[in-house]
Amino acid sequence: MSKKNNDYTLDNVYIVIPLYNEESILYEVITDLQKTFSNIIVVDDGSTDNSNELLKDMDVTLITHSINLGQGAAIKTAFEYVCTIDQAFAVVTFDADGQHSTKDAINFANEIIGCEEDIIFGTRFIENEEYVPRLKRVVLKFATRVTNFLTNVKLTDTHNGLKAIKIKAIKKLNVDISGYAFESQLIVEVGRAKLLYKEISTHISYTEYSMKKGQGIRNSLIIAEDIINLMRLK
Amino acid sequence: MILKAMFILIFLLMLIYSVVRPFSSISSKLFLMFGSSLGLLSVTDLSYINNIAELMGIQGGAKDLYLYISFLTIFLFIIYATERVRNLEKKIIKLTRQISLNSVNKNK
Repeated sequence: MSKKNNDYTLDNVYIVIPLYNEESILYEVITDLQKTFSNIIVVDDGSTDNSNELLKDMDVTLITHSINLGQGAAIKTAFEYVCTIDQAFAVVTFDADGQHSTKDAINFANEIIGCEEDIIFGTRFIENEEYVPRLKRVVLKFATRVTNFLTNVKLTDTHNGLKAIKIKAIKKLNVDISGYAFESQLIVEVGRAKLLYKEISTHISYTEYSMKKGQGIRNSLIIAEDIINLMRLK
Repeated sequence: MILKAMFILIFLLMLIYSVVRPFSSISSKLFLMFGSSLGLLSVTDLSYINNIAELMGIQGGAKDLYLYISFLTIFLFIIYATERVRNLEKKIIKLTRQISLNSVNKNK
């Protein structure tokens, strides 16, 4: 007999963290999440620093890609793994660079357990727009407009790593892109599979570290490339 | 004369090879057949190529026909190579992911 949503707890929600060379902030991010979540899956996407060694001593499920495949591939690996766990009800994807807050992850986890939607997207543009750097804001808004135009999904932020997805929804998604364009393909798939979705406001910490790790112009260019990929997908 | 005979032999062998060899795609087969035939004709008598170029509406004759074919070949090769790399990449990704899933480290 299938369980009702309210039979599930935070123990049935798995945190998925794709990781690449984050040794300096990793311990802090994971220990903070562990205060609330008992199931954390980290996919080390071929890190060349000590991240993997660090994780071996932590209370997490560690999946290691021997070479760097891209963020999309890391998330897909985690999805494939979670789908084999009977008690898993949903996943919350969380960035390893410390820009997401545990408070938001808890909010997402509780919300996905209680709501009827299949997927919850994080957005920086409902409440916390002023914290987003100006260039980033322009690029993200443009990307969002193009994505909304090309897909059947209407969002305010299409490139937010914080998401909550039910396992039954993951099984309906057919995503195979390994890089950043994974985000766009996921949105295309949500539209194709006619999944129910909603957005929740998130707070992103644009620290010096996270900016250095790819929140600058380079990342904006990657998003621009992602838009071209999205057109190809369509 | 010996050089000419050598080239004729090479192009003839290429043409036979293109007919006999089972190709995975028909376009590769046709491309090799067309290329070797053109080569054979060029070595035998260039006026044939000039006639073909004229027939195709190429003003500059054989010289321009070769140029266009070279561009087309480069373009097709780039597409082919890109697709090949993309397919290999997909296979590597699939394999790496499978290996990682087979050796999940549960520190729990």
